Amino acid sequence: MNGLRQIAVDYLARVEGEGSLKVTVVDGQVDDVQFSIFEPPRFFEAFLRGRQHTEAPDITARICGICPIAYQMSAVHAMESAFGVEVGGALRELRRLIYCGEWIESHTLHVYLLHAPGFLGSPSAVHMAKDHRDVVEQGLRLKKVGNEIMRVVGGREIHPINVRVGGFYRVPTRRELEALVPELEWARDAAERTIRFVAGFHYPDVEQDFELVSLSHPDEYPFNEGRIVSNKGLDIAVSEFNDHFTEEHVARSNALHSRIKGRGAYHVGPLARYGLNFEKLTPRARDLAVEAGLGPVVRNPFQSIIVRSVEVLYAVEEALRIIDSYTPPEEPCVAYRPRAAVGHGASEAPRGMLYHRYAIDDDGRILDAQITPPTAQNQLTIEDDLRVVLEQHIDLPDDELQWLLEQTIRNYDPCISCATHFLDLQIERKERTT
Amino acid sequence: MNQVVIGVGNRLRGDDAVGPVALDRLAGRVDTSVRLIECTGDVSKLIDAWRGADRAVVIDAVVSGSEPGTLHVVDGRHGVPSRWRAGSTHLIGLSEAIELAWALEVMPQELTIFGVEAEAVTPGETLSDAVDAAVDNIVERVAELTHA
Repeated sequence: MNGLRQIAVDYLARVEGEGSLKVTVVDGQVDDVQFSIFEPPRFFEAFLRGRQHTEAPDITARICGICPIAYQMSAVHAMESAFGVEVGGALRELRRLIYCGEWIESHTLHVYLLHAPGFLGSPSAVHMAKDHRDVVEQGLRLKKVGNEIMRVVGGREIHPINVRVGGFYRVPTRRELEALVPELEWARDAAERTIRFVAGFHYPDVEQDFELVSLSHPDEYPFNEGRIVSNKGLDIAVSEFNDHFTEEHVARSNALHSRIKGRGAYHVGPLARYGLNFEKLTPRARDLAVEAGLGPVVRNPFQSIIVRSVEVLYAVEEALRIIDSYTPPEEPCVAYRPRAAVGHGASEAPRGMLYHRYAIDDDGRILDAQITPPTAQNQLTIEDDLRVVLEQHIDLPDDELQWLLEQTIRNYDPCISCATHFLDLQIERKERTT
Repeated sequence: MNQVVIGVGNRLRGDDAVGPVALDRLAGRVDTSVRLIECTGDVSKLIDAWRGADRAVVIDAVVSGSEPGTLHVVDGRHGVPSRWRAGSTHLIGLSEAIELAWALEVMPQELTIFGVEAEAVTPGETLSDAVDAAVDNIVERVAELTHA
């Protein structure tokens, strides 16, 4: 009798934060998969109560050092929807531009330093750098292009401080933005090379019937604005989020698990945005996607690294477009008057749709806050993927299986520190005792 | 001579702010040609900061079990002692940045790491007394080192 086989890993490297994965295999069949998050809950929603609405963008930006812009954008849009403020023209374009910076920075970090090493059989980016020095150098330079956009538009790279409800505190000059152009032009070619590089990886053959959920806008690849749509018929205003999605507490995890009412798990992030908005990519990004072998919908979660690379190219081209047509707005901010209302905002964080809801009183103070981050929304889907990958590869030796499961989680670039943080992986194989 | 002093840390996390605070006190004490760079531990920024430098100094908080305020000075070209949990609150640690710098062949001629034993890296904008005293010591030593 084989009894029980167990693999325990101290933590999963190259994901943001701490979590654990426990897998039980009985008689060669997957019995249970539990992907858990055990960082203490982060009481952001509670300590926003009683604060001025103007503080929400800077407080929520602190939830994540990788995607602060997403938090700032969802917060300002929620406030603006509460107060009936429209932010258009160059201010709206600047918001898209700073979001381009965050996508470039966050996606490049993940593609080059976190996800690619696993596909190349390297235990880390450091090992990968020894064999692929030019590739890692290219990744570091590309990431810096994103950081520079965030610095110029946001005031600084980490936790930018220039975003406010109604617009910005200060808008950049044309010259300040034009200074970004030469590196962005380099980045456009580097982004193409990135797509071709990752397209050559070997991908496990996994196809999932995801319900893909993202924002969708009639004219543009989504960052800040649009309806919430899915490939299974969902088409709702952002304000209807809570009518169609639920969050439930699961005892083993400090993050709330999200579901679509009546259906269950769903998928947010690059695959969802891409599958639902393919035609709104730039022609060059679409061509490179096709050249990389992708169809207009990608159902293999491992290929998310290619889609992320396509989105980097898109973000670089979009940034160049915005800078080329930029004329500084007369005022850095739209004037508004706070009122008692409930506001909803959703924007596309690098990891997927990020929803905020705030109830505000007459003095502009926050009565109640709800923040639904992408990793919490993907948690059930990650468990589904893990189950499928396990079932398909149950006979692999434990070390290979472990690699595959770690990559399965990394496919989602999970920002576990946002969702509530290392992964303790246990694979338990046992035979049913009768 | 291309010299850079890098203060690693988060100003909002107690003694983790030792690197940035040391930079504040070094301003005016070192030659204007010495670059002072604050860094939250982002590996790419560390690599960029010391790329092309003849002499790089890194100031960071360390948790190794010594008395709070203890100053550890090591030759960073050989990595950091494994007992250091240096940069524990940072994205990718100093030790990875050192390894990556070797792999990318951008290791400075000299890399000196001043590691200050932290008492607490809990939220707050105040250094503990022990770490605060260590900063003055670092400032003197770095001023001397960069004049050499």
